[in-house]
Amino acid sequence: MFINRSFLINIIVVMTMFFGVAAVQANNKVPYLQIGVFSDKATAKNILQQLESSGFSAEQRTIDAIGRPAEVVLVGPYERTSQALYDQSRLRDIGWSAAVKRFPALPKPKPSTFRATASGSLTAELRGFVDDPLYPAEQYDTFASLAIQPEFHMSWNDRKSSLTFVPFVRVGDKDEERNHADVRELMWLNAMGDWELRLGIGKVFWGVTESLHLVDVINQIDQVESPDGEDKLGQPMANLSWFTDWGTWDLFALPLFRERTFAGVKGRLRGPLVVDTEQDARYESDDKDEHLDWAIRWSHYIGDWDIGLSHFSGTSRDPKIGDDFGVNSLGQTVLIPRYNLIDQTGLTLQALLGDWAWKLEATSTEEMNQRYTQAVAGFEYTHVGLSGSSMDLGLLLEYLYDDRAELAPGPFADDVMLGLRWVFNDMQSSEILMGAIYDLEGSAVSSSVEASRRLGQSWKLTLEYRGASGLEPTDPAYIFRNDDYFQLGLGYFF
Amino acid sequence: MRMSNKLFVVPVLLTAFLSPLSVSAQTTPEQRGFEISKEADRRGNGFDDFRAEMEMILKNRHGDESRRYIRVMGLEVDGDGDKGLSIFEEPADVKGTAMLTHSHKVETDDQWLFLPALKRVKRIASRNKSGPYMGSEFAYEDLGSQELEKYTYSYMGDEVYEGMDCFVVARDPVDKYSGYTRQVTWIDKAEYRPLKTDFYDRKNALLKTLTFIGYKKYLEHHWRPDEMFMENHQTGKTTRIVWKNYRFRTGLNDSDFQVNDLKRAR
Repeated sequence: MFINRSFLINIIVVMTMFFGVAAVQANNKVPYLQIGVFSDKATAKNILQQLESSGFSAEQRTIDAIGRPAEVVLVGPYERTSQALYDQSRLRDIGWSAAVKRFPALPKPKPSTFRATASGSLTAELRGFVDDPLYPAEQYDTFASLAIQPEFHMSWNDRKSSLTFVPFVRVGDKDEERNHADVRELMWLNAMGDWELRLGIGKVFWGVTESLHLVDVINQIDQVESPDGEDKLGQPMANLSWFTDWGTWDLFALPLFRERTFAGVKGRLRGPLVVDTEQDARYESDDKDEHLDWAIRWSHYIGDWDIGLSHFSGTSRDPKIGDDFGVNSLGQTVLIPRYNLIDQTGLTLQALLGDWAWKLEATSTEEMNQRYTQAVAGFEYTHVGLSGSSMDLGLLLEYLYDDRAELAPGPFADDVMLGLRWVFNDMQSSEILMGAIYDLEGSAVSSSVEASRRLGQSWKLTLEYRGASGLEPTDPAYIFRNDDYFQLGLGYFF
Repeated sequence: MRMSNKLFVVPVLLTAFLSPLSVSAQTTPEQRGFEISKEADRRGNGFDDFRAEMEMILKNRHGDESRRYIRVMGLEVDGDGDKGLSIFEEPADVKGTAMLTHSHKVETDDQWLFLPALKRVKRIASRNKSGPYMGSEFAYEDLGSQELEKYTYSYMGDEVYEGMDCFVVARDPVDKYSGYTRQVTWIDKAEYRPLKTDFYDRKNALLKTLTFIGYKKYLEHHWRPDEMFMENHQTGKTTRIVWKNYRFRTGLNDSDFQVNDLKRAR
């Protein structure tokens, strides 16, 4: 009796333990591929190493096989059985047979998703001006320089977090103002579901048209780089993005202002007086370049239509030149830029209708208690497969408008841009973009050609021409009448 | 050996008795071509999502070479075309450029390009589908989602190709903006894998031949080629695509293929 009772208790205890453990384990048992069970540790180890050298994540465990310790070799673990089945066929391809079995998962550190990359470009540039300089005592005809722009990027947390650093330096130019350095980007990004937060220095692009980018108010133009206004200085910002089914919301806080860059004494593309950026600029805001600017933008796409609506409140990126003067260290009279406070609402629209892309950018701005409107509207028509070849030809037409007419500070108030985009679609990605902007109320024509072609695997050759003709003395661009130039660039990308 | 023979016989018998393909006496070549393509499509689907790397080697008539390296991700969408994201690694001057495609069964696909130098997300006209992909001999439409509804079909007969019994099926693009009038594909009867496709241009002249090389099986029943070799007969140029690191069911979902993600896809 006594023996029987203790026997029963033992059975109950063992069963409780067994089911108890089984219940716990069932919860965290995960699929593995069992390669085999071995009595010999060394054999198991050998097989483990073979599997690992074939690129599989393998484990070796000691189990109890009919009362004796044995070594089991496993591949895994897997989150889903389907993934185990996939590796099962991969293993079969290289001669291993394996069975899918569930084993308790060992606590394993998650594989790191940290990734770091370095890339960038080094570009040699040669600029030659067609006409003699207007101020021959100071200016030159040709300029050569070197620009470097490396990019360091690291991401972690499954690419949800990242840090990007893009410095830029130009050296060797005769114009000291063109020899400059900038932090194009130093941005920390954190993505959380439908939200993204960016903190640091960066660049924002909202525009859709080709001739002018009216709505892009976040970044200052790095004008010494190119007069086309497409090179931008890095802007310090906090940017919160929210993605919803009814569009994307972007909120920007812009704490520090960047002044526009201008050509120096020895440089071309300037007027009789140099715009001095060494001295403090004049600001409407008492906070000067520390005024906190704000911007908000909503963007969405519905079918073939893209729409963006933005509002900016803060210091204008466009300076007023000619109202303020100063004296530089050499005793010369210089121009001091003035930056007013503005409230600017911007609209972008684009419709892709077959081979036609219809575009509109418009802004309404309040500055010094005056409101003005600017707009660019037009289309790009793409002819695919030019006469049976694989080349594409794009035809661009845009109308540029400013309701301040002759009082507009920019050269384009009632103008038409005609452009041609020739894409070769070849191995070297050759491309030519030509454009001419005609003043409908005068005789001024400003034209540009941008051509590029890859050489080999890592080099790129670019050719650029910018010029203007028929400029009248009242035209804001009249001071650049002798500054038509060709530019050759050879870039190495790494 | 015995086992595998038996396993092989069973599906063949099933096919013979149950499949609509067997009732060829009553079916038109159009119906039969569609049925074969539908079965090939069915077998190609069901992978949920994938990631892979694609190396492209472009060669011109003189043997000059150019290389592209692109990371690709794809997502199957129920009831619509697939979604795809390509991130360019090489050549270095286009590094970080990303392309997002939301393909549709009948309507034109939606496509966006992210240009990292400008930080610009540009919506592009996907109707330019006949254009070369990255200067290669592959057109956008050759690499895009191959939806059944985008073609009409015609069964042209049986042929042995590379020792394999094949169906020869012609398909004609429905879209008038396609660069082709006809594509003729050799599909092996055993696994319904495309082995070779001849492309005929708008003038109905033989333009290109695509061969699929080194099929491997993934996820039990998904066959994917290791290489795709495209030869242009009119220009003598070739492009070889070498697929690397195919991974299926990697847990990608719709939120990884949003326009907003383009800015941080890299």
